[in-house]
Amino acid sequence: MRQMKFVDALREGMIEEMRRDPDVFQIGEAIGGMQGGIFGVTKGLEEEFGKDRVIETAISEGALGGVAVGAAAFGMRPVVEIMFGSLMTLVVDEVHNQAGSLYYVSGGKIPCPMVIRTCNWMRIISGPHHCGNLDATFMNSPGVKLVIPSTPYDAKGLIKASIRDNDPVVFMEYSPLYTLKGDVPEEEYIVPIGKADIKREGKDVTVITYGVGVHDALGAAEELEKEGVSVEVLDLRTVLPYDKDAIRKSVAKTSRVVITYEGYKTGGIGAEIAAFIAEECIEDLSAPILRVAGKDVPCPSNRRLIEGISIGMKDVVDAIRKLMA
Amino acid sequence: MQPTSGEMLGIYETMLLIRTTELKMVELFKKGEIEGHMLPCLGQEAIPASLAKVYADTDYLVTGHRGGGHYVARGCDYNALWAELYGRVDGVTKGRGGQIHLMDMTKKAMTGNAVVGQQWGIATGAGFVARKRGVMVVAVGGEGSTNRGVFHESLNMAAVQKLPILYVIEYNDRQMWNVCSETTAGERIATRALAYGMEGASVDGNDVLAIHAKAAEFVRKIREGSGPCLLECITAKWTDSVSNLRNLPENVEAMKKPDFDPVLRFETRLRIDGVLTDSLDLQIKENVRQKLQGALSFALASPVPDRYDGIDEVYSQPV
Ligand SMILES: Cc1ncc(C[n+]2csc(CCOP(=O)(O)OP(=O)(O)O)c2C)c(N)n1
Ligand SMILES: [Mg+2]
Repeated sequence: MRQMKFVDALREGMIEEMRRDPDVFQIGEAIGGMQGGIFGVTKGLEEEFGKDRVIETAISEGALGGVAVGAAAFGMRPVVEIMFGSLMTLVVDEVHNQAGSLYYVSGGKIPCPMVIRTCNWMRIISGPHHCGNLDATFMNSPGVKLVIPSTPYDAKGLIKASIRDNDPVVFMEYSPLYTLKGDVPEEEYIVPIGKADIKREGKDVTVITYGVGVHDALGAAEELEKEGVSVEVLDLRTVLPYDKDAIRKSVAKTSRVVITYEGYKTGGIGAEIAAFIAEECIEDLSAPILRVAGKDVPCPSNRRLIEGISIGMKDVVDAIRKLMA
Repeated sequence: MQPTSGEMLGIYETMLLIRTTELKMVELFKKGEIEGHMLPCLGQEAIPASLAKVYADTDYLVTGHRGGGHYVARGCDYNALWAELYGRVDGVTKGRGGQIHLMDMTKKAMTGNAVVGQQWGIATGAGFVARKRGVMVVAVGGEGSTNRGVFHESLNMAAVQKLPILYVIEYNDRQMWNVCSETTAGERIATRALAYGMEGASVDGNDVLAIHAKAAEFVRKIREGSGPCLLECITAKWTDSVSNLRNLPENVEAMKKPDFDPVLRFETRLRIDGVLTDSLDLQIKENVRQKLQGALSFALASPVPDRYDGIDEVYSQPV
């Protein structure tokens, strides 16, 4: 099968949707020209689609969020790039209050088909304003869909589904994944929103995760296989609304759960997933649910201090060993 | 009011110290001795150095992401700056914030922030404190940051409240990869002052005396109760960040012209005016060299933090 980098697959998905539907357009800071955004995701788009469909803007996040809602409400399909995930704080009103409530509050009459793409880059040295994590903010936003791919295949399939979706989607990219290579078929496909994916089958423990955490979990699974522990890796892919059936099924099979995510532990994605399992699958559990997540500390601008607050494959391994002991 | 010869030499020395600091930072970053996100103010040295001679020691200083020069000009802890760049415990933020979060509250200086534009709101908040305490605020940011809504909200509020704030724009015509004409309506940022009924002016931001004169006039008015003023300084940055050096002067001929090199330009001026002699220049450069050497030794002698350092310092008052 064709091998592609995550960033290229993502871009290909957007290009296909822009060719298919003339109402799809891109807008954001430094997304045009040869630069194509800070990570080059939109590189070359301006050349193909012109300045009217790849719109360069000032540093004006609030307006970008508002423009997305307005353009969507009045009939187009905007794709906004917010330069990095920490800046999502500047569009929380537009996403949470405006986009998230529009369909409901309009009596089911005004859908809001917009995508806000952004990128979490927690594994670089750049301090709290750049390396924060707001995933949980959007988990707590009714009416919003939160989509976070972990592979090139999913990135392409999910961005296409997000652009076609009639509801507002926050599409979160994890920067360490941009250069990751993987299978991407030549023929067109869509990855549906709301469906989790079992990235590795196992029978002893389920690791529930998404984004970059999937790769920590896969690494841990490989490591533990040598010790005879069989780990299932459940990639949520859509974090809100999440795939409850997939979780129920996997928990029923393995009876042990580790949830891992890069955001702050308290009130994070893991809190919701753990609460759901406790409410609906408690009978299936043979051990407590464990969370492997970032510490509740702003991200420092210092390699050594980052070591002290962040998580990785080793932490997932440790948690699984603890459950199996 | 012209600065005195002594003040001019002081400004020159500050500019050299900033230049030397930023070049060393770039050099050490390239060698891999220091790491992280760093935004030098090479090419913009005239602005922090001139402003520092205009505001008082008791005033407050708030900048955005390109605040390193203002930190130095303000006289913030220079040794702690270098310990910070090396990520050591004696850094001004104990090695936590790095170059884009430099803050030294002993000097009433918040000279770091990585969310562009947020300094305008924070500086305006400082303005309420300043009004009560009988001092003023100098608030600094790039022209790109003025396209954030918070810039409008802050200037409007400050004007209504007659807050003692000098808002300073470092207009370098670049916002990462964007040029102003692509992103910004209107010719000059300073004209926006009109809308708020405040005074605004645009000056050559590579000309020490032009900045000094206008800033001194505005500071006098602000202290007399005029409310906020807006000063736009037109300059050029040589480089965006240490990891993106494509504009460094050795690569761009234009940058070598005196117009683009405020340090060279001011040096020439001081020599023509007979303020700077060869021996004075040597002495000033030696001062700067020693200051840097001292700070580098201090930084390298400072320990690396424990990896869990600061985990118990997220709240000032743990419960
Ligand atoms: C709110 C926000 N949007 C985008 C960024 C990314 N960013 C960092 S610096 C910068 C350009 C800032 O331009 P300007 O305000 O003119 O300051 P300069 O860098 O030229 O000194 C951008 C877009 C950010 N840090 N914060
Ligand atoms: Mg600028």
